[in-house]
Amino acid sequence: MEDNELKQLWSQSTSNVEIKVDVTTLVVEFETKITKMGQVIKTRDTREYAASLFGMVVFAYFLIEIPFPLTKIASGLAIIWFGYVVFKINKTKKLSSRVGAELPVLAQLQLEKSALLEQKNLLKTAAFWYVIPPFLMNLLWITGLGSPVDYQWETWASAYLPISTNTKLFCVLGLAVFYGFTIWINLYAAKHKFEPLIKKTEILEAHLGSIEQEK
Amino acid sequence: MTNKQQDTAYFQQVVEDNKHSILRICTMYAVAPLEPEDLFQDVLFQIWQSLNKFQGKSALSTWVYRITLNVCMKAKLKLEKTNNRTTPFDSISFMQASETNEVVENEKLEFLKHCIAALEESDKSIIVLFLEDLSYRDIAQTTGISENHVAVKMKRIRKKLLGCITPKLT
Repeated sequence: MEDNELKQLWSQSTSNVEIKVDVTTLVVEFETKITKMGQVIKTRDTREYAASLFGMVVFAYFLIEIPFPLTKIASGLAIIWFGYVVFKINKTKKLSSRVGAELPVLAQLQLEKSALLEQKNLLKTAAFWYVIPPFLMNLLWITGLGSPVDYQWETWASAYLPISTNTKLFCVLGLAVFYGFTIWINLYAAKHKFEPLIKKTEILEAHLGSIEQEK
Repeated sequence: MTNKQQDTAYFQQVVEDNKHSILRICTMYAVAPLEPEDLFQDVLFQIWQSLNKFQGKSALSTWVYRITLNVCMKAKLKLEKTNNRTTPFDSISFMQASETNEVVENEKLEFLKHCIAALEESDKSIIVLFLEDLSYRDIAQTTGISENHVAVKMKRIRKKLLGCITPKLT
């Protein structure tokens, strides 16, 4: 079979398909889709920022109000950590938005792979920036809780303070289980979701980009 | 004519000029649950979104092929976070224009599609561009590999493709 025959056969594959595109309506539908996508992103961003802001306000209140030194330090660190999480989320968003469909296939694959790698690394290192710091802060915060009477602190929390060592231990263990699960779920996603995608992208990139195997 | 009307008219021209090529490529890349029509719609969406980024460094058709391949390959590799069927737009419709094609031609076409589907993903992207009658230079611009590289690859892909399809036709 000659090249021309193949090309002719290929071009015939849609010759009996009539494609009708009402572009004016389509553009309106696209605009609606983009607006909806924008709203979803805006809602998600607002939720993330609101949660961080809420955390900052709560810990700022603790920082000012609570007299126990360790708990005060932990509250201050918590505020810094919430700020860091917002920064990290923003950085990741910039990464995923730079993948462009109008690039040559090989360049697009390389860009896609580097974005996937960075996302995978973010998940793999989540223990160090997303889990251990808040766990240590919580540990410090709980451990630092003392008796309001010792600090002449008049508070509505007097009814609950001081808390026993056993209760503190129980809280810390509960948190350890929760944060341990968070580490596991992040590592699981990195291994089972991102690694196979990265591997597939690498294989495709290698096949397309390598000339050695053709010789 | 307003800017928006001009953009729409330009987009309409791009769609009209390339719709059959886009559908042919989408057909080769659609994997359940995605249908070629889903990919076709996604490609048009991407073209519309990126049209203002077209700088004229390559032919517009080459640029459209790039977007088509990128969208289709991403879907095939399941790189999209949501790889479900998209809600079909009312403004796009596909109709079987006639049933007059000869059975023999349809059979040959099925063989061709089957043999292309059996190729490696990277080879598939090159052969579909070749079958779309793109020059080696345009294929190189679309894929991002060198023209010589395309020529070397095409030699091997052609051999594989003919090795697959010829026994079926005899």
